[in-house]
Amino acid sequence: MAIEERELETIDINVNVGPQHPATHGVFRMILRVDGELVVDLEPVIGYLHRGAEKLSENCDYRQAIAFQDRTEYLAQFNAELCYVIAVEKLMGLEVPERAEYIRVILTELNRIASHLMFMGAFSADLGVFGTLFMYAFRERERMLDLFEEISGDRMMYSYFRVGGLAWDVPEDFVERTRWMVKEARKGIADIDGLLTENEVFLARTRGIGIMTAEQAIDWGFSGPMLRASGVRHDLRRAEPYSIYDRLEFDIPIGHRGDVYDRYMVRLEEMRQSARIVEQCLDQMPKDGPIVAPDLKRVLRPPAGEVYMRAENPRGEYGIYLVSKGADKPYRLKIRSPSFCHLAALRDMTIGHYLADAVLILGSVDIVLCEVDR
Amino acid sequence: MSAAQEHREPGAKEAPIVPPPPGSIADKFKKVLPDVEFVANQGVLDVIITVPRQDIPRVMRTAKDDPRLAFDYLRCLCGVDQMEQGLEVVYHLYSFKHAHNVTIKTLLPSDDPQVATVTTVWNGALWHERETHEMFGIVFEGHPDLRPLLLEEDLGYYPLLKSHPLAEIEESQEEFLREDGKQ
Amino acid sequence: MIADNPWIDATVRTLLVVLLVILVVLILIWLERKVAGRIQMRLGPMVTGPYGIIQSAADAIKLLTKEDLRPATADRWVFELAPFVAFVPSLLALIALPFTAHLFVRNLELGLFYIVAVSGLSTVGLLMAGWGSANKYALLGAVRGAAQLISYEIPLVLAILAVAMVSGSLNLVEIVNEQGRVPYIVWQPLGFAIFIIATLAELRRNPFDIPAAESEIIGGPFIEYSGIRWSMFFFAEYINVFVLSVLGSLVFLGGWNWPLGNEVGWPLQVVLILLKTSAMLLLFMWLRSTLPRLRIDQLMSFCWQVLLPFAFVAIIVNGLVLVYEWPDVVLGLLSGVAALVAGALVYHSSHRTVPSQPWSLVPAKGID
Repeated sequence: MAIEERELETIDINVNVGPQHPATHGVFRMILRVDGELVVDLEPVIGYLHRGAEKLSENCDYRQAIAFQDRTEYLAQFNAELCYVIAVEKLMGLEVPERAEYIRVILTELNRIASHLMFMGAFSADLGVFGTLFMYAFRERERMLDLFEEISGDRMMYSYFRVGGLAWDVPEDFVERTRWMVKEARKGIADIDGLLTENEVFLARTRGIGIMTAEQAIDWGFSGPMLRASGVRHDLRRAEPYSIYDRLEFDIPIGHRGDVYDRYMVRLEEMRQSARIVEQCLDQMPKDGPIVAPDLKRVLRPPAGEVYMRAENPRGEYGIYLVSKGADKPYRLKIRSPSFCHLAALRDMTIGHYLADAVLILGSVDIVLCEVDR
Repeated sequence: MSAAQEHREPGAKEAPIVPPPPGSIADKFKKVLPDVEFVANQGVLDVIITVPRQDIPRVMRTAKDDPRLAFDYLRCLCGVDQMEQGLEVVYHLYSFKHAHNVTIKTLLPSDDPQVATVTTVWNGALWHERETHEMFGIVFEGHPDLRPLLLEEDLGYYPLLKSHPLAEIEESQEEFLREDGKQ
Repeated sequence: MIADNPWIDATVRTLLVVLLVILVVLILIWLERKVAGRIQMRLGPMVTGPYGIIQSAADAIKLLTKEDLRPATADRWVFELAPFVAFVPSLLALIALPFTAHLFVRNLELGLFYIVAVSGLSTVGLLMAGWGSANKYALLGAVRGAAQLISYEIPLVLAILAVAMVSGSLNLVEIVNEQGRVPYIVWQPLGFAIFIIATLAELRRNPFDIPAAESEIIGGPFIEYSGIRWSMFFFAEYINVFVLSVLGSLVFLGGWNWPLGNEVGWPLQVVLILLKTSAMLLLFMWLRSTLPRLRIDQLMSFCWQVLLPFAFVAIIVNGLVLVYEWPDVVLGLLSGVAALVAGALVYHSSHRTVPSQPWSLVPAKGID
């Protein structure tokens, strides 16, 4: 007697994780095709935040364009400003005074810690931790933002770096305050580590999710923590050093598998290494000195030429491709943003996982929509 | 003449072509691809190699596959509007194996902006080429999906071309507001 | 007895309990926000009233005055009835819940069975909400919720059943009186652990709140509800929390009886039972604020592969102790060992994939 099998007919449904959604970290749209809970297809739709920064930069002079860098990468502003400012300096062949270099690197690394803290907060919110880790991370981040506000006048859009140095000098208590802040930040990082790293639920949710092998990562143009989590030993601060990074001693965390857990661990450890860099810079920084290269004209006219300057942003490799024709405005300013390249691979990372994992994978990419869309 | 047109004049300064020092990546390219005619230029950070557009597929494929070059990483792909000279496509490549990098450029005529796609070589070019297409109108032959990425469909113009106005719009808006205020 | 006429008696008692529960829910909402705030290093509500006490009332008034929306494509009757179907069973469960030996609405002989059975009815309300909303997110949330609630019903019932076996009755007052010397948590640690976990899942609270995962499907089945209807779901959830916490303190923690006994006056007994309930409530709130949320397949596999077998183990152990008339200490030992084995299994299975050094720290000099 044959037992007849009746097959259940199922349909895939399209779930629109729309532009407005608590999990998409901004106006980003994912059109998911799910079979029950399994993601079968994914299409990312971007462009909701496109403001034409590249075209607008062609109408600004080199000093005004610094503000665009802040607004493009709004979580790691100093990193973006540094990349742009060094690009122009390389075009012009300028040499930046020591004190300005050190202050720049200190602020850049503090901003890296702040950006990774934001990642920790948002990532844990995606995971479902009700808000605890978010508050712990933001306690430290707020201190840094207060410091940045005192230095530059703005909590988020600093426009503090200038071509050739800084806009003005830092306050007098900068060194002691930064030292204290870094000490507190280490405690905050330990809090975050203690809450999530060994947590069984966290391990179950993030191990083996969203794996990108090293070859795939290189092929898709990954960079930064995403690339290092996949096992590729590459950090622009070491491979192609800029500013004073070749004088500083720090380690680079490398993951083994390239899953969401590794990306989290890499970023967690990077925060500790950034704290280390800041402490070294505070020790080595000259007590006084000029903060701007001498004999700079008011209106900058770099000689004709082009440069592709790349810097290690918290998200990856941030590139500024600057073409100058000798005028006071850039001829072409192309911003190569790491989140843009990472999002292109989102489909390959997510297919085959569950709906709940799609949110986590997107969170682990740590996108900043403004730099994806510019 | 508005301020924005100042650097659009054909008399704008161009960078002189500086031949790269011996032993640079340009020499390696010459060894690997001896029959491709290219112009090598030592830029500020990288060596810039300009190849004719019909050689792009071969050059890119060789750049990735040849073990002496091993450019497995496409950093960035963008377009530059060089006005009279045409449209330029710029590729920035990096090799993890040898830790060297290069910038490859190709010039396309403005009335026929077509070049072969490199998505078959690097997956990362997928979105870069889509964006370059919608911003400049450059058609990448062989690209699987050349829909607009950041802009809306059926926009009708390519914003990053120099012929698309930027400062003129702002200036006419300022004039309009000034007149409005006077009334 | 409040009045001679049984109808008036029952009505007055019911009204009192309902009023009490509304007050309790308002306090619970405030407490949840305060506790969550303190764990997150912030103060919680402080502005409305001293220490924000009136916050819940303010929220209730706001919700009552909100516009009552219904999606045009929603199935009208299903959509509008769903809050009631979710809300009423929670109130029904209050009927059989005793607060002292004499303070209850009705002391049913099958009290335990009744409460568990009635609590399961609210699943239907969840499904109705998800289906009637004509929204994919709602549907996903409702399906997840139904699967979770039905699955976790079983370990919950089995854990309580073990207690009923030992105490020999389903009458809640008798179960509490049986715990005179030692509460059941001492002899049934495994049962208590399973009860806590299954309760969290039944209440749809972290780490089992995937049906209404805020960050993925934004509210799940409740996504299209606003105003009074949404507040009914919210109320139902908190009444359930209260009911199951009281149940836990009655069945495992000794209720009003331990340690002061039955001779103390009823105010002190009420205070005692409220204290134990608060302990369980605070435990739930603490877990909510700190644990990430489990994915639905992990949730289900945890229920069917870990909780259920160990619930059976609890029943078997209880049965053996009853049949062979071993002393309670043996029961406690066996149950404790089983609980430890369960914990070790879970720990081992989740840490097995983590290498001892999850990432390698490469000195920067070693990078080309």
